Amino acid sequence: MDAIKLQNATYNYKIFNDDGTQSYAVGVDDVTLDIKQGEFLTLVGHNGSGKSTLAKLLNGLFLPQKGSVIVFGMDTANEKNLFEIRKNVGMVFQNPDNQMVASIIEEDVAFGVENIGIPHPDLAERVHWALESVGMEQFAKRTPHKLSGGQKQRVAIAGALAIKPQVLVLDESTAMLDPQGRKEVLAVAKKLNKEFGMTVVLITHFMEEVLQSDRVVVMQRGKIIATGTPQEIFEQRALLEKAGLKVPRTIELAQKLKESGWAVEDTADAKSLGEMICRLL
Amino acid sequence: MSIVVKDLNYVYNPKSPFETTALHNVNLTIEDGEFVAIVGHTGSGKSTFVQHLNALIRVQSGVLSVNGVNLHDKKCDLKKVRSLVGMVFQYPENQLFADTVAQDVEFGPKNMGMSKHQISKCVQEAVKLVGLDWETVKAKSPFELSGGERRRVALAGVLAMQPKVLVLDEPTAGLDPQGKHEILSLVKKLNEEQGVTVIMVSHDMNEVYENAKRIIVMKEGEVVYDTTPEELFSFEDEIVKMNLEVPYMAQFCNYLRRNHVKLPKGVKTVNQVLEAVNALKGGSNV
Amino acid sequence: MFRDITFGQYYPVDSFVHRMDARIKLLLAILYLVGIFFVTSFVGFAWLTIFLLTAIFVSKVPLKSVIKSIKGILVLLIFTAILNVFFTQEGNLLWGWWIFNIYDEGLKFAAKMMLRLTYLVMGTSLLTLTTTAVDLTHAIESLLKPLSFIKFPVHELALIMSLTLSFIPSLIEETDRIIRAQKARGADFDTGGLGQRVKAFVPILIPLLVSSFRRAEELAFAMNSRCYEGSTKRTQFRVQKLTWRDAVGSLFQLIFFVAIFLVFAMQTTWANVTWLYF
Repeated sequence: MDAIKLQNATYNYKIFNDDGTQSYAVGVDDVTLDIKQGEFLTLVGHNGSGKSTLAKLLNGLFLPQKGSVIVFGMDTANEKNLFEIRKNVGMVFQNPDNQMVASIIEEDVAFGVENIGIPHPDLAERVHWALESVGMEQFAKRTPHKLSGGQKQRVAIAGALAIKPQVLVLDESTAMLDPQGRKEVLAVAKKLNKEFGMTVVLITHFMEEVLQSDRVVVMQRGKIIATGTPQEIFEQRALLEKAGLKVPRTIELAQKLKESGWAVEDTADAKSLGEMICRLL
Repeated sequence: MSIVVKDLNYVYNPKSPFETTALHNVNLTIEDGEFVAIVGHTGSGKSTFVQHLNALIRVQSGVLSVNGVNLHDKKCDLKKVRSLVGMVFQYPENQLFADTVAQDVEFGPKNMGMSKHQISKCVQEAVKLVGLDWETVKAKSPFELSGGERRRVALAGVLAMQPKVLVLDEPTAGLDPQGKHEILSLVKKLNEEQGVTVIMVSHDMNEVYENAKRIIVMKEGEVVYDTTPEELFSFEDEIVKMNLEVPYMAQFCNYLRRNHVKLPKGVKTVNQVLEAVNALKGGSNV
Repeated sequence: MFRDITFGQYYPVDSFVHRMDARIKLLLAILYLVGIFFVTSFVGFAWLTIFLLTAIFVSKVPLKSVIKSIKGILVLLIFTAILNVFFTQEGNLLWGWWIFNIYDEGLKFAAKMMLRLTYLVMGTSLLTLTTTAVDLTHAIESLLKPLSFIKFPVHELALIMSLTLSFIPSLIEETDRIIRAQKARGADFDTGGLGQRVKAFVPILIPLLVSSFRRAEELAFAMNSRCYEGSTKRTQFRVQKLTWRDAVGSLFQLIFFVAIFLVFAMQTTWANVTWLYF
């Protein structure tokens, strides 16, 4: 079943020029995409490719100027649906400091649950469960600002999770993190997908993060230019490079070795690639 | 002319319950024209260390001299130091403030007291250097530009002071692969063609491996490794133990070398490794 | 009970007073403020001193930290004392020169005024030293709740306070970062005339404004995504529960203040018992 259906969705940004005229900058241009329930979908693209704009169409933060976005059968264009849509589509953003509403972690996580009117004891249970799911329960009573970037984002994920959405959208949530923080966030996303069957939409420009997804969508200048499994996408190296992206180094090496006549398979693991080469020597 | 650091120590909040040692007996010398990377986790002291280099943090104990200017001397010429050592902070585009790109870039040179003629020359050169077209951008507001362009304007704002040493704190954070590539090639060009000493703080080990000629690893305020990228990442287990990444190409080469495959020195990029492996074809190297 | 506190006066120890409910502490502080104006005699001040010292002792906050809070009003204290000494023209003349006359009543009055101001500040600091800003916000929200019947935006007000509190640490960090970045470009904030110094802050203020606007926008996205729709159907995570400490603490203060009030009330009836209103 489809969780979210985008049908020819278009969203452009209005620009007010100095001379008083108006022009448009492309955000999302005529995009049609079905996001299936339970899948781990990664959306990649260069900065300004429209991937983040697309994310904001998924829970009605932006409304399509043309076309439609249907979330579990509900049209985002109908304002009456928005509350229910946002209950089902949780979203975490890029800057961990700019999405905290309270100065104590458990109170921040509770914010969304309070908003949907869940009373105690369910409220406390959900907060505890959400923090536990992201491995942050021991920080419940602390202030978020002393945490590392990765920990802050895990708290933000818990805040979305506590509402018990069916879809979790990570809108460039790893972009500002160090490698350690990125790993933490990805591990949590993977876990939510595998253990709770949650639909995950990961938006990123780190091609290494594509590896664990079921399906990859590549965007360039507001349009989808490729869709497929990570394997299928990596094979289109030239296309990716044109879109300002890069295949992870190990995969690039494996592909180039193959092109030079070595009988190796594509792999992202440098050691297993080394093993293959050693066996061939 | 070089950077000399002897027994540098730094303690935050001394003599209070919050006392923390940020630097502990740091000793090193950086020669003119080097490309040095400094790596380590948050709290390893790397950020405290680099801020010493242009006197944003003053020396508490130890010796620090940059191109002959003694920074441990309380009365050293701050303006001179800051024009000598350019500092590019993380997300430098957040410091832009002026109405136009030209005004923002000239902020540094003006503060340094350069002559009008000199200022306009340096500003134009810097803007061109970062790959922007002077005529198109000079009158534009920095806030009209794209994220990548804003970062380059911020970089130009530092380069316009014509520093001999450039300190960059995670210059590629938040950029997409294309943007990363542009910034790194620019830094490389400055280092190779203009002889600018580059000191780059980074978390991206692949990036560091391919670009730096020397890597300093910091941990809990101390320098734990100070060596070439090849040598550093041949200590794979130690690096992993410190919770740092080993670059993919280093992992690959290490594996081959451990299995007695002879590879030439200094193969670091995908294409260099590819060439080296192709050269093994048909040979009896095992 | 321990919370990392990021700013403000909060003194992080675990004590009887720290564990009391913030609402009760706020109410008791208000009672204290009102009560202090009924203290007009030195006997009353003696009572007040015993009360304050006991409260400070129980709170485990070092007396030094509480006394430090007077620093801010030191100038005001000295100024009021001088005014009172010279402008009270009652009682016996103790010393006089030209237009300056000091009467014993003036000295007494000035001393009482200084004591009152000092105790006022020390008492309220004890509240902020033992209560986090977050707890205070919640306490204010819950005490103002009845006002929502007259459409006073209590929830919105509390949300604004809470958002501000969570914003302050990152705002401080951001400011620090921008100052260092501009210093690295040779900016000078310490020399030059007033005009020049004000101008020197433009390169700090504009980036701060820009980042605050961006934060506001991102925060709005984040709050909307988490189903925020105002106060209509919201529930409350924080349960404020009163404990035996609140009862004991309140009783303790009430006893003292009843005594203080009695002393005040009897001054007039027992006008001849001079020691009472010395």
